[in-house]
Amino acid sequence: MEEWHVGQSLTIWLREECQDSWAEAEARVPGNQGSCPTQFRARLKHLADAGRLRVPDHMNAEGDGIFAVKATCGLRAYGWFCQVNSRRAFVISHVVLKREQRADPTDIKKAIAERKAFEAERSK
Amino acid sequence: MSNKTLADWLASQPDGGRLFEQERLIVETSEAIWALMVQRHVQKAELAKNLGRSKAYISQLLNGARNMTLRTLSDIARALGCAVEIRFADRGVAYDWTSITPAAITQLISRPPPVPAPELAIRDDGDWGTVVPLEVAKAA
Repeated sequence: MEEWHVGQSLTIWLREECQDSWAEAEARVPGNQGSCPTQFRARLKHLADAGRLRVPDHMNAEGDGIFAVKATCGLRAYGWFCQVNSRRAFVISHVVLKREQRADPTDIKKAIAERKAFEAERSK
Repeated sequence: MSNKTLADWLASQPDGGRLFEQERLIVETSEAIWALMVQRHVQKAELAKNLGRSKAYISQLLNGARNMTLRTLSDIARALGCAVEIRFADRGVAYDWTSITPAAITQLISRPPPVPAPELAIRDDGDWGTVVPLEVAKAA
């Protein structure tokens, strides 16, 4: 797991394969929305500093404790809130580029599976 | 494009992070407006009506899809019973954990070590055990 940004309120972490999914999703952002990856990161930074994001405008609550930070072009970072090293954290499972408004159930299942793996690693 | 950390990504930006600062201001402004709407119990529809605009327009303003002018920001604040105050902050100084300098770290680790806690023992006082320093228990 990699530390992505330490904010005033919480730290954002990336799970092992998150970097690859993020790069892949951003590569598919249409050329006329080139500023979207920047907006995406700005929203993630705000989450780290303020500890929250407005639902549903900047973040979706997908159920089962899974949230998706989103950008207007369709970038979505699926993850969950927890504590890491005694500090509040948001752990990102993976990033996708979505066209539809509704979440793909496979993305939520994937995030839940990542969270289970994360909790199993921590309990060792 | 490196995405290892946010700092790495910002360092790789050809514009030096100028667009990121714009987006950061946009998200902070819209989040602040939302927080104020919640505090004042104002729904989007009511704000739209007060501004003589559609709900869709308000949504676009608040999710960054539409550029908000200073005049619009002032109108929104006024519709929520507030005025906007502006404060400029030095970049990269505020609360970033990575801005701790080597000098500050040296100062932190140069404090004298804590006095070790005395070793303790339980003295059997009948029904109760009393915690006493080890040397007192040995002397008894």
